[in-house]
Amino acid sequence: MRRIPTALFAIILSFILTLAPSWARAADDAEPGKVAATKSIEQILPASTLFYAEISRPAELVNMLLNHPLRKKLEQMDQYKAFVQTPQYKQITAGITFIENTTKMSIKDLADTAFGGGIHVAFDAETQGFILLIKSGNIEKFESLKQTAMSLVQLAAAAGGNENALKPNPYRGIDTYRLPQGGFATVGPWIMFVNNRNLGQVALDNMLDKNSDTLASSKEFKQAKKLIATGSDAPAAWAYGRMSALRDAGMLNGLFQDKANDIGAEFIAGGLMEVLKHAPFASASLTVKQNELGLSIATPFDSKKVAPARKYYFSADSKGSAPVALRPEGTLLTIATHRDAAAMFRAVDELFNETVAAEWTKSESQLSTFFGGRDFVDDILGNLKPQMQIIAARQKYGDVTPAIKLPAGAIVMRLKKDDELTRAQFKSAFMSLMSIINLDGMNNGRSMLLLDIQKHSGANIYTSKYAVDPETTKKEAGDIYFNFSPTMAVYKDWIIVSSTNQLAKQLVDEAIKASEGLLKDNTRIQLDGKVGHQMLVDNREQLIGQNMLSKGHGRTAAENEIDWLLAALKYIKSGDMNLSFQDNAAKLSLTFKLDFTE
Amino acid sequence: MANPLKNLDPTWAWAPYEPNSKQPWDHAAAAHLYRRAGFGANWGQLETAQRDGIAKTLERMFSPATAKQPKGEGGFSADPAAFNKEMFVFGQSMMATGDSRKLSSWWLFRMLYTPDQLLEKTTLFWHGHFATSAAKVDNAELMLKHNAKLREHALSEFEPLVQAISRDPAMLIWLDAAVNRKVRPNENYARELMELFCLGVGNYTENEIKEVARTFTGWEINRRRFRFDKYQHDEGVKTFLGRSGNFDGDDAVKIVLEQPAAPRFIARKLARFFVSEEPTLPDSLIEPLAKELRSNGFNVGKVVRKMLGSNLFFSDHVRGHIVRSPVMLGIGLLRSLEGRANMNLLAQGLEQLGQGVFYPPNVKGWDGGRTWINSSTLLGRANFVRRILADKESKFGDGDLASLANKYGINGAPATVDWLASLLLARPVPVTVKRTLIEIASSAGAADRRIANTIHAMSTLPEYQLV
Repeated sequence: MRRIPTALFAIILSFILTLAPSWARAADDAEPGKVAATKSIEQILPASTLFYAEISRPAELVNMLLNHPLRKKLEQMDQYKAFVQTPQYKQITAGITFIENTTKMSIKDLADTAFGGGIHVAFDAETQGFILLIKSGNIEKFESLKQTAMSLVQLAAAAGGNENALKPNPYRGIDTYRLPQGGFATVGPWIMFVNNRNLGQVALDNMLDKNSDTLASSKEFKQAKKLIATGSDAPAAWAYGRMSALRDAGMLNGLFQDKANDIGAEFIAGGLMEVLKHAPFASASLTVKQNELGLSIATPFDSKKVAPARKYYFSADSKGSAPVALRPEGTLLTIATHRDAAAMFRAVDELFNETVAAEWTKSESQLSTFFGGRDFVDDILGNLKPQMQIIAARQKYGDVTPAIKLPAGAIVMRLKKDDELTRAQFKSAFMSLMSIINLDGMNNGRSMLLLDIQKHSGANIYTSKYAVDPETTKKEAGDIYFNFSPTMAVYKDWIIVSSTNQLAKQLVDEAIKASEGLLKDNTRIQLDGKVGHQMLVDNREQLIGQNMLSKGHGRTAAENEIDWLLAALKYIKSGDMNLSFQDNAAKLSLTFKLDFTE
Repeated sequence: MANPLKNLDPTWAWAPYEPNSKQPWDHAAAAHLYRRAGFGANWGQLETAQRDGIAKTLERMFSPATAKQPKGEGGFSADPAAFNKEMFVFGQSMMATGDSRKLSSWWLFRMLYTPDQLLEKTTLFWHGHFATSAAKVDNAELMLKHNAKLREHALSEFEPLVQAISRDPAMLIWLDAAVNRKVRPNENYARELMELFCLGVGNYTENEIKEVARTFTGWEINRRRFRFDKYQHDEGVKTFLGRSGNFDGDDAVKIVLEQPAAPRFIARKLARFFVSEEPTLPDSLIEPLAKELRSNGFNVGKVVRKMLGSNLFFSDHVRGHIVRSPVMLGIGLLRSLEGRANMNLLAQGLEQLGQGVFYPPNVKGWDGGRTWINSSTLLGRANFVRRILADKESKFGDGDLASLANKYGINGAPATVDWLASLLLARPVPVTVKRTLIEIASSAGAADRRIANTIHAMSTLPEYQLV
C-alpha cells in the first residue's frame, strides 16, 4: 500500500474531522436537518452580528482555478516542469488521488459537495464569538460523503486507541461536539464551527426556530446587500461590517485621530476617514472572473456630515471630480484626483496637530519667498484648479542609460487664472529650485544640471539635463540621476512639472488634444501592467543583482528566479482604482485585469 | 616568553614542503592551505587536493585560469579574468544608487564565488594594508575602483601598486589629500606612505615627511579623478632618505621602496597574514623573504608562493596560529559547507563583529590577531554562526546541511563530527569535547537541525577561533 506522508495525512484527517460529526446522527437529524436546510445565512446569524463575510460560490472558484489559463501557462514553464519532479509535488498528487479514491468523487465534485453552498464567517458582538458555517452544494452526495468520512474517522480513532475522541452532546435532536474552545455540529447541509458555545446555541436555535431577532431583520444588513451586485455580476465573496458598533466598541480608534500628523496621509485618505467616521456600515465584495479580479468597498455617504475642514477632499458641493488623465505613450501609472490643496492648507489648524501645523507655517513662508513673495496658499495654490494628475511613464534614454531605470514622473496642474505674472512666478520658482539642486549635486558628486529654455508645440519648456562627462565609461550603466532631466512646461493654463524633458513634451502634446470633461470619480488610479512588466524587464540586471546579494544565489539561480517572476507578471494587463462619492454612497473599487493572449 | 620559532633553521623553514610521515599531505593539510591561501575548501575540493598532491594544488591556486571550463560556480566564469570583469560590471550596477553599504555585500559575494581564492584573500590583505574606508570617501564608484586596483596588483610587483594607490582618488580623499598645494604641502599621504605602507615607524624622520610631502604637491583630485596640477607642484630640490633632487611623487615612491626596511616591512606583514600571527616570525625567518622580494623586483606573488609551499607553513609551529577574522568566519563557513546566504545579512553581521569590509576602522586597518576576540565578540561570533545557519535564505549544497552530508555519504554522529572538524577546525579538539559534539550530533530532531547545532557548538570552541 502506498504510504501517505504525515503532513498530508494530517490535512486529510482535519478535512475528515470537519465532516465527521454527522455520522452518528445521519438518520436521527433528518427533521432538524430539513428545517435548517430552508434557512438562509441571515436567518441563522443573530441580529447582533458585527461582522460577516461569505465566499458565495467556492466550488466555482475551485473549478475556475483548476481550469484557469494561467495554470496551462505555468505548466509550460521550465520551473513548473522541474517542480513536478520534486517529492513535494508527488506528495500532493498522492494525497489528491487518495482523497478522490476514498470519496469516489473528483476534486470538483468534492468541492461542490463539501462547500458548494458557500462558506460563511461572522463575529457576534453580544457573545464575542466567531462562527464558521459551511454549506453543502449537493445534499444527496453530502450524506454519502459524511458516511465515508465517518468510516475513516472511526478507523483513524481506533488506530490511535481513542475511540471516544469525539463524544456527541445532543442538543434539540442535533449532535454537537465540544472542542477545546467552542465546538461544532452538522445540521442538514450545514457544518458549523464556533469558538463560543453560546453563539453556537443561538445559531442552532435560529436554524430550528422562527426567530425574528436575526441578521435578516437588520435594516443595515438589508441595505448592505442592496449595494452588492447580483446576477452575472454577483461577487464571488462579500463582507459586511457594522461600522457604528465597531466605532462604539472603540475598535476603530486608531483610525480616527482628532488631528492628523501626516500631510501626505491626510491628502490621500483624509476624506475616506471622514466618511468612515459617520458610516453606519461598510460592505466589500470580491469579483473573480477568469481574466479579472475586482474588489469593491462601499458605504453610505452623507455629504451634510462632512466637516468643513475636510471639504477640500470633496469640494463644497461634495461633487468634486477628477480630470480625465493624460496618458502619453509608455504611461505606467496615472493618478487623477480632485483635491483642493489651498482649501486643505487654509484649514491646517483644524486638520493637523500643532507640530505639523507649525512646520507647515514655516515651510509656507519659505515657499512664498520662492514664489516672489506671493502668498503660497492663497496666490499660488489658490490659483490652481482642484483637479490634478500625477503620471509615471517609462522613458527612453539619450546620451547615458542609467543602470537603474526609473519611470519618469510628472504632476499636471491647471491654473484658474492663467495670467502672465503667475506663469512667470512658476518659471522663476522652477529655475531657483534647479539652482538649489545644482548646489546640492556639487556637494554630492553629481554632474551639473545644464539649464535651457525651449519651445514645444506652443508651450514654454523650462528644462535642464545633467552634463555628461566626455570621459565617462559608464554610458550604458550610468548613475541613477541620469533618470532625471527636470522640466517645467507651461502651455496656456496648464502647468506641467516633470522629472524629464521627454515626458513634459509628451504631456504638452496630450494637453493640446485633451477634452475638458471630468470623471464621475473623485479619484482614479490606472496602472498599465504591460508597461510595468516592460520596466521590470528593463531592470532585469538590477533585479538579478539584488537577488544575488539578498539570497546569495549564483547568476544562474538568480536568473531563473527573476525570469520566472517576470514571466508570471507579464499576464497582468492593468490595475484600476476608482473612488467615488455618488448617489449617497462612497465607493472604492479596485480591478485587476489579466491577459493570457501572449 | 622566548619565541619558539627563533631557533628554526631558515633554510629548512622556507624550503619546499615535502610530505612525510610527520607532516603528511592529507585532508587536514589541504584544508590548512585552503584556509590560509583562501577562505576554505569544501569536501569535494579537499578530496581533489589530496588526490592531486601539494604541487598540483599549489599550482592551481597560483594559476587558476581554466579556460576549458566556460562556467564555474553559480554560473559565473571559471576564468578569473572573465570572472573579474563580470564582478566589476555587477559591482558597478549595484552601486548605481550610490549606496556604499552595498559594497560590503558585493565583495563578500565575490569572495564566496571567486574561482581564485588566493587573489581575493590577498586583495583583502591589501585592503587592510592600504586601509581606506567608504565611510569617509562616501562614493561607491571610487571605492569600487580602489578595490579593483588592489586586486589588479595584489600578487604582482609592489611598486606599481604603491604608485597606483598614490594616485587613487579614494585614498587621497580618505587621507584628506585631495588638495595638495606647494605653499602648504599636505603631509598626510607622505607620512602614511612611509609609516604604514612601506617602511614602518623608525625608518624616517619628521623632516623627511615634510620633504616627501613636497614631492606630492600638485597631486590632486578633480571631478573624482586624479590630476596633476603643475602650477601647484613644488619644483625645488627635496632631500630625504639620503637622496637630493627635484623629485616628484613617483620618484618619492621609488626612493622609499629602495630602502632596506621596505622589503622587511612588507615581508613581515605578509608572513603575519599568511603564516603566523602568534608567535610572530623572528627576523631570522623574515630576512630570506625580504631578500627574495628585493631580488625578484618586489614581486609579492612569488614570496607568497614561497611561504605557502614551505616546510614551515605545513609544520605544527604555525598551524592554527592565526585568529580567525570575521570574514574568515563568515566566508569560511559558507565555502566549506558549499553555502549560499543573504549577503546583506552577512555583511551586517561581520561589521558587528568588527570587520566591515570597505569600512576599516582607521588608517592602520584592522589590528587582527587577539583583538578579534573578546567576551562580547566571542558570544557574537557563535550567535552569528547560528543566525547564518538558521536564516531562511541560507542553502548548503543543493539543499540543507543534511542533504550535503548525504551527498558525501556522511552517516552517523561520529562521522558527521569528523567531517565537520575536517572542514572547519584547524586543530583537533580534546576527546571529551569531541564526545560532547557527538552527543549533540546524535540528539533528537531533524538531521539538518542536528548538524546545525553541532556546527554552532563547534563555533563556541577555542579551536574554532583559529585557522
